[in-house]
Amino acid sequence: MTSAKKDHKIRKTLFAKDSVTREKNYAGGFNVLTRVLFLLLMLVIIANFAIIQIVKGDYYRQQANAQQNAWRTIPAGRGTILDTNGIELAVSVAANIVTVDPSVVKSAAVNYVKNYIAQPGDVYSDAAAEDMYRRLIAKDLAELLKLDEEWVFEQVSAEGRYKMIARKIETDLGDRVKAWRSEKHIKGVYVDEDSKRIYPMGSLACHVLGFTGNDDQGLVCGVEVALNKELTGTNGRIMTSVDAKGNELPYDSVRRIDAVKGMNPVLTLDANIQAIAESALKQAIIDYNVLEGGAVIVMNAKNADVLAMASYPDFDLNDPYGKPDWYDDPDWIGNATEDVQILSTTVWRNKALTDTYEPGSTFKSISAAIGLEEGKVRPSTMVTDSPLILRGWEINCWKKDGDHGNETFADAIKNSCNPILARLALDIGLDTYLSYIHGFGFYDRTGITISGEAASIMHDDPSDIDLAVMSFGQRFQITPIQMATAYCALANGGTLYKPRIVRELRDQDGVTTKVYESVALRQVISQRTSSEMMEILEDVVASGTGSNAYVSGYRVAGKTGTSETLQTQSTGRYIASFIGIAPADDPEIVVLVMLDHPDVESGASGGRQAAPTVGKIIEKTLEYMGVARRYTELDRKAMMVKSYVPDLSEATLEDARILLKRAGLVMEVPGLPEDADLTKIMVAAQVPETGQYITEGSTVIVYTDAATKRTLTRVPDLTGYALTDAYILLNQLGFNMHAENIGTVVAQSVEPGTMLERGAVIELRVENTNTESMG
Amino acid sequence: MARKKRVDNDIHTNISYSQVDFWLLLSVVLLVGIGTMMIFSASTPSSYSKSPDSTAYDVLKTQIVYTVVGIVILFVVSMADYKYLQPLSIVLFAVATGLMAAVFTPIGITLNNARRWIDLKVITFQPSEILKLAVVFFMAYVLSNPTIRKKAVGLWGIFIFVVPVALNVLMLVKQPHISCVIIIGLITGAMMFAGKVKWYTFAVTIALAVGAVLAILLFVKSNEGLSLDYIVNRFAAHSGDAADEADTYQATQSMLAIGSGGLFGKGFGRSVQKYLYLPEPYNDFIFSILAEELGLVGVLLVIVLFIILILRGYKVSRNAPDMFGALVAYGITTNVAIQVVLNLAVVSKLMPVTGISLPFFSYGGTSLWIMLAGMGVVLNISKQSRYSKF
Repeated sequence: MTSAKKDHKIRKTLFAKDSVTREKNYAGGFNVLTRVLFLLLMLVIIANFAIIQIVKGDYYRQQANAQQNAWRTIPAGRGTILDTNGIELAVSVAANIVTVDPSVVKSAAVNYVKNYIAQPGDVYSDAAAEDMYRRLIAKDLAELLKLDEEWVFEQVSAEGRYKMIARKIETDLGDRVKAWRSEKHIKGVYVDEDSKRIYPMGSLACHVLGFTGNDDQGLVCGVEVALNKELTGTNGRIMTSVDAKGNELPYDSVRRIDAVKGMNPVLTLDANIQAIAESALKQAIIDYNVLEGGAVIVMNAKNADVLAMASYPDFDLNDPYGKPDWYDDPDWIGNATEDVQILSTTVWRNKALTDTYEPGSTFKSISAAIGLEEGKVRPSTMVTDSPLILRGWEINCWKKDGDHGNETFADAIKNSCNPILARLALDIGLDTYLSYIHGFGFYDRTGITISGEAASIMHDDPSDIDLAVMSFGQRFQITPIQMATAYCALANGGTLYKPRIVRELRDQDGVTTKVYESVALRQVISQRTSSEMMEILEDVVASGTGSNAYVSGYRVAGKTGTSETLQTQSTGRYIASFIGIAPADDPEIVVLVMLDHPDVESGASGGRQAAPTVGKIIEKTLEYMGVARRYTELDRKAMMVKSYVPDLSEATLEDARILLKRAGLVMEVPGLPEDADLTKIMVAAQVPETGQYITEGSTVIVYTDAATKRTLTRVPDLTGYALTDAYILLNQLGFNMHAENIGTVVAQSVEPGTMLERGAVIELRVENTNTESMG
Repeated sequence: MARKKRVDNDIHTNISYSQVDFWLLLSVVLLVGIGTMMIFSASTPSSYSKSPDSTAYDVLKTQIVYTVVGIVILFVVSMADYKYLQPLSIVLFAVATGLMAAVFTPIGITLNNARRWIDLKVITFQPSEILKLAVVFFMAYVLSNPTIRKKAVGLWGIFIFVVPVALNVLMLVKQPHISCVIIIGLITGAMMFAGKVKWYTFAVTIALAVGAVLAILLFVKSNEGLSLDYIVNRFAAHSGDAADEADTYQATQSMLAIGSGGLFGKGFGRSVQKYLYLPEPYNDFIFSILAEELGLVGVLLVIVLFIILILRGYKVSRNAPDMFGALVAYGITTNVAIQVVLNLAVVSKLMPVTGISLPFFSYGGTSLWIMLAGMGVVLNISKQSRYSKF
């Protein structure tokens, strides 16, 4: 028998003994019933608690939070936009936001008045105290923040919680508000983090970047709009737990959910190249009196990465609503509808993306490439420039006194002969020709990651005349970005890339989270055609219509274009454009310059106005990129051209500039203020003095005050240098050079180590050896 | 075979005088401890905001005094042999009835439209708390005393115990204190069942009770504005008929507190609902704050402690050496069970809001002392258990 069973038996015996008071009269059955009933009820209660706390927990939690928490928003900073080298183009800086909580102001009023205002014996009603307290806050805040006192008073007296008083104020000012608050023991005024968009480079790349509105969201154009989602962070909150009366709880009452900053896009754009492009564009606008603005695109020829994209007129990103200088309106407000209308059709307009234009002769390269690719022609093929008569229409060469007669195809491009390209296009045939035009991407938007790209305007159902005219770039419109992209394909061996301007996204720790890969769309032409085109286009610059784009030491290929616009007949508005590629033998960059309506006496011309601008951009960009100059025979010949240094004494600066320019020299005036009037200032001294010959294109230093302290530089030892290298080195140091022939330096007129002033001439004795080979 | 030896010893002596019931004592002490802790947490905001001079610890300080005194009462009572209380039962009941009547004398206090308190200058308390215990003793006495029992189980019982208890119930209605009426009613019913009164006595008692309720309701209806109509409103509010949101406010806030606790709660002291959202967070609705701060885990812990306490209480009753002890233990345990079930049902919105406090948890001196005195009696009964090892 187990002990349990034994116990049971014992118990039974026991109960039998005590039968009168137990067992029969109480407990037993009802005790069991009570327990069962109790346990059942407890089970129901437990189940109910589980349902409330677990199943419906979120619902009740939300409801509880809704009544317990009040919050102020911490705006998330936008991401930083970086150029390809990590230079900050758009940043969000810390600012402050000032809010008031009218309900706290109200409940704090009575105590405040009692403690800090009332004299012993004074009695104020609650309403009077509230009014005094609100008035005090409104007056001080309005004064600190330069706001309208009545408006602040309304906010302070409003119903509800957290009224915004001022956003995006400087943190210094925010600190002053905090100081005022603690000094005066004010309750209900809060100073929290805010962020403010700053563009450290001002107007640089304004059209590419775009700007943001008051809500910190991208507005109008650029990367700010295109990557708005990625740039926008997640707003944080300052949650305050409040009791049923709206007072903040004494402990644990403030919880922060920190704002998460947006992503940082890294552009392919290079701020330095952008600056080069913008300053060249602005100079061209001034030099050639360009009336309708212009655009520049600098692309990496190898993969169509945008290195610079400039458009003129431009605007200051830190003041996008500012009145443009050329606009005369005393009632300018900036964000009025008509003002915005003006801004968005002028300064905000990214002409490189938004303006379509007739490409004109720049398009002949495309036609020529198609002809070469289709085997219809070779660069050496003899062709004739006689007028082409098609269905009663006559297509003539631009040359006024007759045509170019018989010439090679390469020369025909160099001379930009229309009839030859028209004949070629007809020979290629409409369908084949158009399939290439599609292939080069002229029918599609390029899909670049910034907003505002226009669609091209192409013939719906082109006839053979349309085709003939199209071959030299007329009667259809494309965008500059399409043209530059197509030229990249011409230059890089025939691959059309999708132009890229955003390279990657980085998070706040600088870790790359997304890479926008370079996208090769298709092979449009062969490597061979590409190489042939480069040779042809290099000739255009070396000895053809594009000679103004020539850069000493760099092999530049390119094509001019002068195209009509809809207003050509009435106003003489032409578009002068040039697209350059350099170096021609291994293309690094493609540079497109488009000038809309250069109003100059000699007439608008891609060769005369756009080509020199492209030349300047190419020179500075390649120099910046560290692409070594390699002087060709042509360059060295040019180096031997000497200029006689004229006598500049008694001349004004303006006269001196003209004299030097005529001599093929450049004037440099150290310390001359930018706004100086050249016609009023006299030359005091010049280096070098008159009577010497120096290399053409060299710089003459002109002083307006003979006492100006001259900069001295140590003369290097040049023996053993190739003349071209010696020239580059001396140029960099600011010296001028004179040599009689080409070869290796064997002696120099000034001892190495001598200190000489800038502009001084150093004569070199050169022996002609075979060591300096063609570049 | 130590176990067996002990049992043998029981048989010889017939009464064990063993140790008090360990689990019962443990659960009481733990519940009182947790209760005091929760009062501290739940009372700070209300305590702080009571008056300009009040601190967050005012309520806690008082409750600690109550608790210490209560524990002393528990031990003193548990040491006194309950059998000596048997003849005092009638006296206790008479005193309780007297105090109930005294509420309507000038020493009574009216708070929130209810006259439930007596102010004895040194102490303010609700006689109804004493009444609950007194009814248990009174019923246990009349149903266990062999002479009286013979009459009491029959229709004489109507005069012997129903009328005296009903007299007190009427005074409760007059206060009004409806929740206490419900508790006294249920205790009386449970005692009649446990004491095995005749079925017809039961039937007549129920008929009388139903008749009385109807009569009172009719009386209330013809006298609009009487304070009793608050209970009618509360029931209406619970069933969703009432447009007045104030009546559902308390229940809704309680649900928000419980619901936002989740599985593990917000942590001790971290309730937000206690910040004046939930009225009387350290009183009838203290369990909602516990649910918010300690989550379902805390809820289950406390409920399990209550279940242990009550099941052990019934076990003490079953093993009591005599019928008086069995009925007293049963009545006291049932009183705790009723209050626990009703309070938890109210805070979790299974029932309309009635002012039922949670034993050992809700703030207050008299109720805690009387509860602990009752538990002291049960512990003493457990000490004299006839068969402690079952």
